[in-house]
Amino acid sequence: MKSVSVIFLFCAVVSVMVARQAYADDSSVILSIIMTPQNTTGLKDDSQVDMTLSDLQNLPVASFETTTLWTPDKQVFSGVWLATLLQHHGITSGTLELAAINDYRVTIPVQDIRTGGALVSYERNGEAMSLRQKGPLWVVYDWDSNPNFRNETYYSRSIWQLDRIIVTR
Amino acid sequence: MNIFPNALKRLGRRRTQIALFGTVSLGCMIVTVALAVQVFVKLDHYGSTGIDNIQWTMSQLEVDQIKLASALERLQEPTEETIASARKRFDILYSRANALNNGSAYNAALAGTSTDDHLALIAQELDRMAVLVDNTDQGFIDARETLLDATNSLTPAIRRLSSDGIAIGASLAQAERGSLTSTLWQLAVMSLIMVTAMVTLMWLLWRLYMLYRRRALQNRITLKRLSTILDTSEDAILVVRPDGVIVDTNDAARAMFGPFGTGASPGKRSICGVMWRREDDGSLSTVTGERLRNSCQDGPNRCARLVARRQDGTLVSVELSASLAARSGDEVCVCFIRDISDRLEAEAEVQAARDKALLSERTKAHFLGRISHEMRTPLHGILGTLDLLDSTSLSQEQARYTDIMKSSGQVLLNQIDDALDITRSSGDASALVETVFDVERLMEDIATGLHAAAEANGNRIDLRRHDRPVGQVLGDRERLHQIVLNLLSNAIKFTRNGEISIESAWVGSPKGGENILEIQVADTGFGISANDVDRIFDDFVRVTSSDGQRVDGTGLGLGIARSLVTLMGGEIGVESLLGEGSVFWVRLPLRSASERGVLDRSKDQRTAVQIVEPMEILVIEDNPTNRYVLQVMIEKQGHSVTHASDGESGVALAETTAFDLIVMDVNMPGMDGVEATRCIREGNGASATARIVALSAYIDANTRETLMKSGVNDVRVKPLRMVELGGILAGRCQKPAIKHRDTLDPVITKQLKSILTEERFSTLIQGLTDESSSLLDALASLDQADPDILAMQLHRVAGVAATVGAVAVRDILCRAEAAARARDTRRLKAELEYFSKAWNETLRQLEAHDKAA
Repeated sequence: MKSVSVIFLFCAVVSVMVARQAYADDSSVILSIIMTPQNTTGLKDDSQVDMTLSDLQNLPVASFETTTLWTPDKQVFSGVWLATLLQHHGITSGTLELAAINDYRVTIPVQDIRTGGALVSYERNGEAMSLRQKGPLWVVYDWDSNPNFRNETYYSRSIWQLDRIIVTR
Repeated sequence: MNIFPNALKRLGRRRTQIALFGTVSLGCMIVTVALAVQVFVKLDHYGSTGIDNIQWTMSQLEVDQIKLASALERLQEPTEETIASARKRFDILYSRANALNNGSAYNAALAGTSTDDHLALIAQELDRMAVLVDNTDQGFIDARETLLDATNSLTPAIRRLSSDGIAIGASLAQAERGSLTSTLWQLAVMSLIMVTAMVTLMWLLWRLYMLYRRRALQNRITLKRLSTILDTSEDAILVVRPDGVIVDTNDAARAMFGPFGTGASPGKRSICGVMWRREDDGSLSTVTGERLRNSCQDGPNRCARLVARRQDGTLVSVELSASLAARSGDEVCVCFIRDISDRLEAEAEVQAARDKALLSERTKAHFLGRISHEMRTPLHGILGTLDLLDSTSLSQEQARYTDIMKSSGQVLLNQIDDALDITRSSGDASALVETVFDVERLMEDIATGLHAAAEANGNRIDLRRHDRPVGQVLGDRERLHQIVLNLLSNAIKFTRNGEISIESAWVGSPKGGENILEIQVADTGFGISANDVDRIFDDFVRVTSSDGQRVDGTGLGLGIARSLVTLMGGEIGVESLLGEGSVFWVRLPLRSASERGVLDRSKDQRTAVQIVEPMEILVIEDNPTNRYVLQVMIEKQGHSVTHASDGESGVALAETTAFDLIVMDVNMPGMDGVEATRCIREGNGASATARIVALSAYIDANTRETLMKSGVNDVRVKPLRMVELGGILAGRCQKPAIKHRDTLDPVITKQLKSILTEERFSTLIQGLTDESSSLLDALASLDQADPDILAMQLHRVAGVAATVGAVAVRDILCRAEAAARARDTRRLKAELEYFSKAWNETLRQLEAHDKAA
């Protein structure tokens, strides 16, 4: 029984390493931004922008430490402000529909998004997040420093395993 | 009176009520606020919850499990896509379960429930599955069956979990709702109490408001009435602050001083520009608010020495009454200002009128004095000549005529005397001349003198002797004589065939050495009606007697008596029954001379005629008739007379001839009697030490003093009668002509002897005698002596002389000292010569005193 546990543990360590390698591949697309026909931004209608991890990492990095409802203890999140991301793509109005790999969806009006609010994090405690660790992208808020974020609206907007953003006008 | 305390009590009760309700509502308010805060906190808590939707997450866990199961089913045909999908589904389930198992919020909500165990079981199972999932693709595919079974085996636990989640959520919501409901309930109750308290408070405040409004209305009415009173006042009223600013005025003040800026309006005026104080030296000093306040510090202050400037710029005298009043915290001075210039003017007028009346009164007195003087001078000639005529041999008829002329002359003289006495009696107390005399003797003299007059009306004078005679007293003999004489004359005039009694006695106990001497003159005459009693002592009042008979006299007698009594500090009064008679009484404060232990015999002996040895007498008199009469009168007494018609020639005669007596008229053209006496005394001639008797028709206290100061030994009033002249000549014939009293003051001597032993006193006298001898020696070699040393010696001897009471010697030595200091050798010599005579006399007096003792 004991030897079985040791084997399991070994296997787990190996698998984690493999998984990280798989997600650490910078060339794979981790986020798609999809424009619906009503869109009047600089992007073509119904067009799609795919972003790799390095694309995101090239944008200005933001970071904070906070507790969350879903993790024990404090966590350090690093990523890019959702506001910065939208600005990067020239999206100034409309509604965002954020969708996760687990098919969770949530809607956020563009005017609600500002710097210091939603962070599209790609690193937790200095490491990239696997799918099992709610990665590769997790939208988080700095709940500890801003009590206004501590309600259901913002909890529901804290989408993990994010992979798509659908912009609707 | 008891409305006020009631109102206070009511107010006090109300205050307690307000305080009570105020406290209650305040307490309610605090509780309500606390509750409201609690509710807000709770609402805030609802706004920011620490728990995500727990049921949703748990149901999602079931969905994720079913999705994994279906993904594993599809792995039956293993393609790259199905493998990745299965792996993804596992990761999603794993991630969800991990969140439930490790998430802080879920842990807090689920801790201690059976759900926790289920979660731990699921996590354990998933970890075991993860090893297979993370295997190689082939390994993963091979383990499909195992994984599918494991996934399905999770179903019961997950189902339990989701149903538990619902129960947990429901109970959590229930608890939250219950707590919120109870808080809201408390809030509602507290609010109700608070509202009740507030309403009660408002009701009370409303009652108070009504009360105060009513009171304010009353106050306004009172204020209105007061302001009407103040505005009606003729006095100007100013309210002044301590800094001098006038804050309030009334109509009179505005009329007097012009417009003021009242209240907060501009143009405020200061008291400094309105009033000034007149100082003692006549200057005006500013009145400041501070000064006003200080003057009223000890209560209301009144001052009439102020000057105010009226609106038209004129300065008027005002009287100020000021008082301090507290006005809403700070003090103000309320000033009542009255224009008193009219009053002062009236006062000045009255003063002027009084001064004028007094002046005319004095002029009248002076005129009376002059007139009587002018009348007495010729009377002197008439009566004197009649005396002389009487002493010649006359026929019986001639003698009768002479008697008639003498009595008529005497009546005329009495009338003049009365008039003169009036002017004299209205003088002041300093005019009193104190001598020692025997009261009983005085009464006797007066009674004897009026014996004839009494008999003429058929009256008998009864001189009643008291068991305890009054004896010697110290007082003004002449005045008392006048008083008793007037009373007795009055009694004689108004009594027919009756009896007049006169008696004197001490009344009451002696106080501070002064006794009250009472003299009663009772008659059985007509009496005085009650109507007349009050005015009987007024001047010129003559009451007609009951039988209608006219009574002679000027009507001045009782008036003079009253004036004199008043002058001597006594009382006079009368008790009378019409038809029965009257009792006149006089009470005078007098000192008994027996206390003083001094007898002045000279006065009592003055009537006694003595035969004296012939003397050389100088008569200085400008009126030829009087001069002639005097000369003949003196010569008849056996003395030789030299006469001079004016002061200058008199002084010249006195310079060369040594006279024993000089009779000096006071009023003379050119050098008058005072001047002439001074010349003789200071001239150091042959008669420098001669006795000088001044003679004048009118002498008041001032004249007497001036004369005595100039060196006159005695003053006599004209006309001089034979008897009086005899007295002068007899009483003062001794040589040297030093008055007994002037040489030695027996009081001092007696005092000294009572203090010192016999031996000590003798030593003192011996020392004085030695000093005197050495002084007399110095006289011989006066030219060689140092005047300053001599002066010191003289001063020392004078001191000793004063100690033993040798007043004459002392006076001479003092004068000699002055002469020595002035280097006046001639006068010094004269004084020292006189000193030798005076010293011998003093020694003799001392011996006499010793023997008497």
